[in-house]
Amino acid sequence: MSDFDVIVVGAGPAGSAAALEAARAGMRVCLIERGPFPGAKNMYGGVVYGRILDTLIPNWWEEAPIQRWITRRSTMVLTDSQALTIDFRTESWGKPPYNGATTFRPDFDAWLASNAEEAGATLICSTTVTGLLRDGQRVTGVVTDRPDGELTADVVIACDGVNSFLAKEVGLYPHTDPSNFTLGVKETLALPREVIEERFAVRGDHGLDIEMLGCTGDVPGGGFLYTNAESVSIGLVLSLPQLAKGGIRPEQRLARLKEHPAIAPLIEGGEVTEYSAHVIPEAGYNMMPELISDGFLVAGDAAAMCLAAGIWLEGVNFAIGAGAAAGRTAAGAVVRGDTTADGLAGYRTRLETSFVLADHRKLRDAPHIVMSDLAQQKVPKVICGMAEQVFTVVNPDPKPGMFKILWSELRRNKMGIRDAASHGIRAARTFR
Amino acid sequence: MAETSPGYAPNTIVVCVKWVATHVHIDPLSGVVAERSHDNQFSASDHAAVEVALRTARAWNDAGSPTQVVAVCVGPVDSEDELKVLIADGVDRAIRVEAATHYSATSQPTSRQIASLICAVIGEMTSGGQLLVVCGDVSADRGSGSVPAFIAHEIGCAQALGLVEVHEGDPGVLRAMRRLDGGRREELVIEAPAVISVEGAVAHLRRASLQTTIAARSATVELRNAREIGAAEPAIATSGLGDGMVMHPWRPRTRIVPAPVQPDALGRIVELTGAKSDRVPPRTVTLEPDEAARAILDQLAEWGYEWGQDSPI
Amino acid sequence: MSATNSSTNGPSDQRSRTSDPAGDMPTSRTVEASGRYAEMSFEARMDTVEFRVHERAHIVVDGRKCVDCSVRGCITACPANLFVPTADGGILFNYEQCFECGTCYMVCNEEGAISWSYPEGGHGVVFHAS
Repeated sequence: MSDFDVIVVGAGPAGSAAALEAARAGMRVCLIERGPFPGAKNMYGGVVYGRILDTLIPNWWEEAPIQRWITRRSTMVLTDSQALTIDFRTESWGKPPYNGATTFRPDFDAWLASNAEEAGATLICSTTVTGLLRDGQRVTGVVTDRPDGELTADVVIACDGVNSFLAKEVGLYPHTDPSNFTLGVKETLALPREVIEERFAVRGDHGLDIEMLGCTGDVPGGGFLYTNAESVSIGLVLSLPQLAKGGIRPEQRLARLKEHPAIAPLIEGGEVTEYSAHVIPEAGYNMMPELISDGFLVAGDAAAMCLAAGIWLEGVNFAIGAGAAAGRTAAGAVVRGDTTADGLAGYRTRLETSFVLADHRKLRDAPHIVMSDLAQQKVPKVICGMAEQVFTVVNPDPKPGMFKILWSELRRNKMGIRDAASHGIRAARTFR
Repeated sequence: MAETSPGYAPNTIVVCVKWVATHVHIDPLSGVVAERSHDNQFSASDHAAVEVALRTARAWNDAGSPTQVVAVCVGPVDSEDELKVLIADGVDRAIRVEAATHYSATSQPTSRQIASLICAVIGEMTSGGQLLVVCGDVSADRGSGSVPAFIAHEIGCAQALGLVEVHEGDPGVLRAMRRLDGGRREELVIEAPAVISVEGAVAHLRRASLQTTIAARSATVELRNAREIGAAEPAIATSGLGDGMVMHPWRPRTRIVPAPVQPDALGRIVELTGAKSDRVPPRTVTLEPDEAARAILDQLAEWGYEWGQDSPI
Repeated sequence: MSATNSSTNGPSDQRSRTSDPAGDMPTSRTVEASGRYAEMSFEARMDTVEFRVHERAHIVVDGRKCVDCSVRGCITACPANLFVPTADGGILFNYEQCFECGTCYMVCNEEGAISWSYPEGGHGVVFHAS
């Protein structure tokens, strides 16, 4: 008999959700985390969206360690000297059941893991899983870096993050293409509560989340800035191959963003309290590995379940959704006594019928469009250039027509009309 | 982890561990000490103390003198996970003492109060066997390391503090070395009952096996309440200005100075020092204290330490 | 405990001198924009992060392969600036302040030049406010 019914590797959002659901289904679950506590290794670029949590932890908002509830959402398009912001706010996101929240991952992940523990899972921290136990093709357990560190289970759920050495060991990732990945770098800047309320026009525990395009220079990517209780977090997401070639280091690119005339006043005087970095699986559906093998499931970043689709940047919710599905599937398979790949096939079905794979499949071209040279280099200039022309009063000349402005900006940025139209149609098809 | 009662293990080694913030974050201007989650842990010297206790217990057990190791922590409930790690490492019992005030970045009971709580716990388990108390020498919060001295005073036994080397001897005996000033050293033979404290370099805490780690997750950390065990409730020293906590003036962080561009070395030095550039000559002003403080802040802001209008004070 | 592992025999503490390999960023610009001092130094930046360093290096670089590498993406891309070129064409690397992100081995141009694993359980980077 195995030591455990289910072993979950990694106590991030995916792992804790998997352990929670499996433990609730009566499984003997071991949740293994390499950090000294869950969340110690984790950072992210923004916001946790709560709807998926409703299904796991009713009234989660009463106990989750939240910094601010997002009631204001901005999308900002930048050039070196211009910025166009679309700003939306709604009070309905500021009361239960809420929409999204900022939180510190070391707090949030530890909280989610404690829920898994309360459900009966055994949480082991400070333990790195170094490999898998296998019987032929079948995964039968894990090897850890502790003395006598082998542990067997009927199902191993790999939630071991973007580098997922376990998924690679099973052969689910054939090779790692750096162009599918981005580097996220971030600074947490301490600012007094009153200053945040004043600068970002928010009150109490309400907050703002800004996504930015056109702030990464010659490297495809984007930026973000959001408010915590008494700090703001500002960061960049940078495509790996171009970052490596560009000769400008990530923190230098971040320093440039912090100097931007539209950004500098927002963060002025903020002392850096933590600098952090993490790799993000950016390419979504098109880079996802096989999710199932004999006795083995993959969820979260390990399965590239980050959604980086321009206006939507989500990951924690997908990880929780996938983890919960993996936990339920594993429990069902253990009860039926069939934990082969066929016995676990329900995992994919669950994901396909939920937002996890539905959203990813629908938006599978979005990361490519967002990271394209056109969207990154030309569109911000055209948009900001148009805005400047529209709002510049040219008396005594008469106002130019909108089409004339559009044509002149397209021409100035060497963007063909056909090119623009075909990309527009493609984008419309992707986001329809 | 076997059920051990004092009757079966007459010798007791008590190891004291302190749940302490390893990083303290002080707001640059207001001096307010901020606490972050997950900042607390047991220090390296406390871990060394646990390892010394485990090795000693093993040597005494092997010599036929049954010995138990008891870890005691006066700390909040957050410390229980790490106390379970100590159980996984081989500590027989872990006891947490709940007091109204625990060590934290913003408040701390005094060493004497901590010592009296620990002595109350020790009082429960005296059984006629040998007693050894092992402490870490210095903790990450720049504590004074005086808790072991107070313990030794209260139970009236020998103390050997700040040890740099410990070797287990016959049951009830240790050989140890202590660093003295001037490159000298002192070799000690310590006989129980005794209190010792060890430096962090004395021993590396062992890494528990996977199975004992899993088993320890369901182990129980015994709980004592400061009031119930009859020790005086620690008085509260708060605000970071209490006993033993020293406030230092804030120093601006280092900043990048642009590399000088002059072609020759002299020119570069002149440029770096700003000797020939336009500058405001030093001035002496006489002001009321609050105006003076404001003038200093304004000047700093002018020099580029950018808090300006948004100063938290 | 060995503080640094190097693929060459060079001294370990050269990072501060090479913190701006590209040369065009952003020190001078920043300074002009906002007074004499602006961006914090890289050392102060890394001081904001907690690292529980283990004695085993979890990054190992095969310096012989780096000699043939023309791209050297690791030097630019590593957010912790752990990779430094040496005069003899090798790469000097540190592992102590590693974010464990994986950027270095993903951008590495030479197959197998960087061996990368996670540090011992309980060690390495510990985030608190991210």
